[in-house]
Amino acid sequence: MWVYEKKLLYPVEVKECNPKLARYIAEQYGGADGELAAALRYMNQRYTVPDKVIGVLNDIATEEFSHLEMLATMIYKLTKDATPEQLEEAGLGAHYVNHGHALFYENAGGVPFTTTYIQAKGDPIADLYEDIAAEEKARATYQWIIDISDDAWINDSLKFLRERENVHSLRFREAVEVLKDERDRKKIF
Amino acid sequence: MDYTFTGSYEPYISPWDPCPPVKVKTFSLPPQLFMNFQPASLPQFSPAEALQHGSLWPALVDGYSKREGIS
Amino acid sequence: MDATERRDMLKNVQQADFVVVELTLYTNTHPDDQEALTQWRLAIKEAARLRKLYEKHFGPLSLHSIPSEQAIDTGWRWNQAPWPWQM
Repeated sequence: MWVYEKKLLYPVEVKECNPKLARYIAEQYGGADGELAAALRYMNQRYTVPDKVIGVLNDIATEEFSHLEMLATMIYKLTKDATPEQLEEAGLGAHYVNHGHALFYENAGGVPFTTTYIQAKGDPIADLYEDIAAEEKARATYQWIIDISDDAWINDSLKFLRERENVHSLRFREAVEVLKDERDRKKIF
Repeated sequence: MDYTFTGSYEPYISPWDPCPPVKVKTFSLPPQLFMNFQPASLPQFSPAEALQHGSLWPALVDGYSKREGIS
Repeated sequence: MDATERRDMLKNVQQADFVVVELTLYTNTHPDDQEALTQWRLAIKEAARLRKLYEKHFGPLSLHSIPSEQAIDTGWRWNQAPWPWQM
């Protein structure tokens, strides 16, 4: 089970109303390589990996939910008091008609989240390589959002999230090395 | 560190390319590619610096920032 | 205490908790690194200390912490704004 902590992993400061940027950030909220996909992918894979690497999947999955909450905070604040006209101008007219000011798990193009974004092959190496790829794709997505954003405060938080992808990618690479050490172990006994 | 975390290449430029050509394209080569398994006892940031940078270890940080002028 | 002071004290908690996050992930793949395991234990202790300091003034961050009677008397409730995304 999980216990809620009434704080963010990293401070998120939003100084300007900017629904267009909120729409771009949605890519990491409900997109194919976003934090929801990451959290669900790792949380689900942890059941069928060797015990030695369960902790990596469990703890990174948990951290991804805290990243999701940071992105939600950005989207919420960037759109909170925006008028329907402002939302429409930002390309969120269709979003407003369907969801009002609510957040939704969708990508920057408004495509709703789907579990086909994630994989579970039941083969530890196949799954860990998928996870490494997912981290690198998320890192790249943060790069493109940072490139297109003029908001220094938001970019500060996005840079933190991008760096976390680096660290997670390394931990998954290490998990592969840990499993490689298991080669021929049965013969030793 | 005397290396960067960026690769680059020079793409073919056609005389009929519609946009002004970017002669050198760059891409990320983040630190985890070269580490693969973190060695013990790497130098650490202070807790305040660690949160700021997104990692406890400077060796894992490549500090991406907005690239001006590339569209 | 004002909002700025509250944010600063919360940042101390965020910094200390982040060290724990990093060392937990690291020790998952480095279970025999004794130096890191020692640092990890101390980091958890330090994070608990800073959390207590914050919670004394502003109430529990999670329901693993016991709310003081004083906090309840002076009107602190779990279901009370601001929530993290509202601050």
